[in-house]
Amino acid sequence: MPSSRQNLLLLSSSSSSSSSSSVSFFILNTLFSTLLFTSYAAIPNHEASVLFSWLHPSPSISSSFSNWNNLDSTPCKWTSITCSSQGFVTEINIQSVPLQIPFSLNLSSFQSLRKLVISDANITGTIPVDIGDCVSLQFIDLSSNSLVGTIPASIGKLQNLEDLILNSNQLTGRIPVEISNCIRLKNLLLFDNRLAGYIPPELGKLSSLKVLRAGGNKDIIGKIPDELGDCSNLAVLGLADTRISGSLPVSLGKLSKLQSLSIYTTMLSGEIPPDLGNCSELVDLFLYENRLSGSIPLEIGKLHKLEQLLLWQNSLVGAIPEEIGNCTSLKMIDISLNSLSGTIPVSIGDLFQLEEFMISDNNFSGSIPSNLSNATSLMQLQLDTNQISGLIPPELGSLPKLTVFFAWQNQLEGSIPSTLASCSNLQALDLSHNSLTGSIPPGLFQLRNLTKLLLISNDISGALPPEIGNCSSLVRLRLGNNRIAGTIPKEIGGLGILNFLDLSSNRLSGPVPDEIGNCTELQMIDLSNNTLQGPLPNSLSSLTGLQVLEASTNQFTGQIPASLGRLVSLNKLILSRNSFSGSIPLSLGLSSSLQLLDLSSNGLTGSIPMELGRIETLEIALNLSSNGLTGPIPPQLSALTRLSILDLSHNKLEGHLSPLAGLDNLVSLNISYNNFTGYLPDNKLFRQLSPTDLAGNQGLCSSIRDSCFLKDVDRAGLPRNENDLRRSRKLKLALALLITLTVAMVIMGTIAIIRARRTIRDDDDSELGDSWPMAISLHSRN
Amino acid sequence: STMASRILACLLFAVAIATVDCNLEGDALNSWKTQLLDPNSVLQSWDPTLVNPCTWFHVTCNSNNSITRVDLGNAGLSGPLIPELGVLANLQYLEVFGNNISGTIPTELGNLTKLVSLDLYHNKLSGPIPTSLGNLGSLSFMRLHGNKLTGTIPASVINLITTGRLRILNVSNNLLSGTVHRNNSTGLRVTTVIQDPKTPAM
Repeated sequence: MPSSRQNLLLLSSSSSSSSSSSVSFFILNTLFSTLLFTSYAAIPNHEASVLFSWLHPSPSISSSFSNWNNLDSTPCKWTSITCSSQGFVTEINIQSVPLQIPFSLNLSSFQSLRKLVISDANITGTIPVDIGDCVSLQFIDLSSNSLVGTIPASIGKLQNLEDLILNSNQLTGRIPVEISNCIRLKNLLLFDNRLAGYIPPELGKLSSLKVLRAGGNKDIIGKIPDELGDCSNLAVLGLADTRISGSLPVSLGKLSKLQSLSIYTTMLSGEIPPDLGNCSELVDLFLYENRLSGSIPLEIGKLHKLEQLLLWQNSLVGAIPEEIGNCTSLKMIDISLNSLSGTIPVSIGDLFQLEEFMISDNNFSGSIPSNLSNATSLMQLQLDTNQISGLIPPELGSLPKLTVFFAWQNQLEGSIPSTLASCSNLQALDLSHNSLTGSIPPGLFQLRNLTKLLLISNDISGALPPEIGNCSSLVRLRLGNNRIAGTIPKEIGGLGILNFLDLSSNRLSGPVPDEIGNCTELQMIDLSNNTLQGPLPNSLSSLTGLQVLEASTNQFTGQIPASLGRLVSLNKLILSRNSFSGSIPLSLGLSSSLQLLDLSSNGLTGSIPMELGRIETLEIALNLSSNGLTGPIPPQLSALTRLSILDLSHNKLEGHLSPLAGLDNLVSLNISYNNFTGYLPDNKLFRQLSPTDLAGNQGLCSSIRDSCFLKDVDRAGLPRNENDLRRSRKLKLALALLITLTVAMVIMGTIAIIRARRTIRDDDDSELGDSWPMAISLHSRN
Repeated sequence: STMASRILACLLFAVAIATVDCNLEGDALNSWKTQLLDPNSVLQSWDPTLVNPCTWFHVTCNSNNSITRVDLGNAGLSGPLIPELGVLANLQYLEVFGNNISGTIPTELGNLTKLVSLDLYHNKLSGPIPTSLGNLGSLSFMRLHGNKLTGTIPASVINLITTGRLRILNVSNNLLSGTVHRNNSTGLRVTTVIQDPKTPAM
């Protein structure tokens, strides 16, 4: 303490003997003591100037640190600064202020600093090594910045350090071994950085350590050290999203205070040690997305405080231990995506706080225990993709909070219990891909909160009840691939927010009710493969959001409604295999989104409307095959340059194929069994077409081979017909005659010339010589 | 009997892989969706909680529930193409033309060996044409015109015209450079416009 030192000096000076020496001594003394006094007085100023010169470049200085005055002797009245009674800085507390400066604070100047918090302040640079000289430090929080570089080993010098919070930066390098010297350390938060290397086993020395979180460091590797079991006060251990490998140390069972074990999304392998059952305080056990093997130890049953058990996506085998029924605090069980087997233990019913029971994607067998209904807090029950058999227990209807029940892809049988209609909170029910029989309980449609009902691929029979209209919350209804018979009730119009309607592959008959136009939110309608009759209702045109209309393989009759052309969102229109008649409506040309149009296998007549050429978006397919279409291919179809698949086969179309010449995008073209004539366009597609794509067209010729190639038996391998044979014979005759005539003329001509030459040679007196035969040939040259 | 059980195990494994793979395809598309800006809600039906993406609009699957077509032309989308698109092993048509797609063409698109049509034209793509696109042995149409692609046309891509099935290659209106030796094969219509990089006036 400065004052006591001063006193000592004054005493020593007064003890000198001679007067002259004592005067000089006194002067020296005063000088010295003044120096000391001023230097002591300057120490608080030193801290202030260090702080000021550090923060000065920050853009926030004027806004958030307006009282940081460089002229102040101490910084004790400054924002974010706390001092001791002696005027030395004990706390620097800067949070959520964008400083945007490097962390170049000269920390060794702050010998009294106990708490250093610069968090969420956008500071850059590295943690200075001299932090280790700040010996009073108890609390360091530098989280949520942009700090780089390594954690200085000098931190190990801080014997008082209790909290080291460095998470959410970009720190690299290893966790320094020296941290294990901070024997008072309670909270070590290093998560979400770029730390690498092994976790030092020396951390086991930290007997005060309560929280160790080092997850979110993708390059942390190696085994979890056994020594961590010595951290007897450890309550939270977090190593998620790292490349930790090897197995969970058995020694973790010694951690009697452990509450949260979060080691997920790592390369952790091996078995879950039964010793974990000794961690009696354990609340959260998160071991998902790892490579764990072996079975779930029955010692899990000792964990009476366990609330969340997340073991999904591992390679766990074996059964769920019955003992799990003892974990009465359990709220969430997710053991999906494993290879677990056996039956669902009856004891699950004892878990009266259980809210979520997810066991999807395993090999569970046996039936759903009716005791499950005792777990009255159940909200989500996901049993899908297993081998569960037997009946759905009607008792499940007494689960008051059930919102989601998925049991799809199993071997369930019997009928859907009508008691499920009592689950008033039920939002999603998916029992698809089972062997369920009987009819859909009408009560299900009374559920006020039901948004999804999926019963695809079962053996469900009966009819769609009129109660269907009451289920006004229904968004997705998929009942495809069952034996549902009867008509579509008009009450279906009550499904005002229905988005997806799949009634395909059933035995529905009768007409589609007009009321379907009231389901104004419909985007997808699939009615295919039924025995529906009558015309398509015009009301479909009010479904402005409709993207897909699939009504193929039914017995629809009448004309294709022209109003369908008004559906601006219509993307796929599939009406094949019906008995539609009349002509293709011109209004379809107005479709601005249509990508696929399939009207094949109907009784359509008339010509192909040229308006179809206006559908610029038609890129997937245009199939008009197997109808009674007549007339030519409109030249406007040449605008369908994006079309990939075109099938016009089995019609009575005629004329030329020239409109198809420019369809560069076609990969599949079938024009067989029509009356097309003329030459095939000469491009790569047409040259690659197989005979089956062109068969059954009279008078279709290829310009390359210079023949109506369908008559070329050798190449096409097709039998000729009578007319073709007669024509070719005639041609051959004509050719033969022509050849004979030419030959005869040539012979006669040669004979004439020879005779003429002989008479000229006999007349020696003639002065003309060979000139007159030459004259003839000269004339005939042109 | 061990042989039979082994075969059964393999089949089950394959089925397991297949079911997970279908989700892999959906996961890839959903991952793409999260990185795209979709003001027209074209991708609204892309629900990752569904068992496979085959009921998503603008997606077409084959009978094995594997994606064969993605049709998102003129959909008003912005954002990048992502490498995960390369896992769509059965994809035949990738139609993403006429959007505001930016960033580079991921090299992983070269893994789409069944791809017939790659239409990325009229976007804001930059960077080079990846040489890996030369692996697209089934490709018939490659239209990358109207972007900001730089560099040269990889020789591997030119080779697709002669040794592969490439019928239409349109790279006009980009920032490409270099020269291409035209191989005069009949019946093919190849549109190439080579633009030399702009040089400053002397």
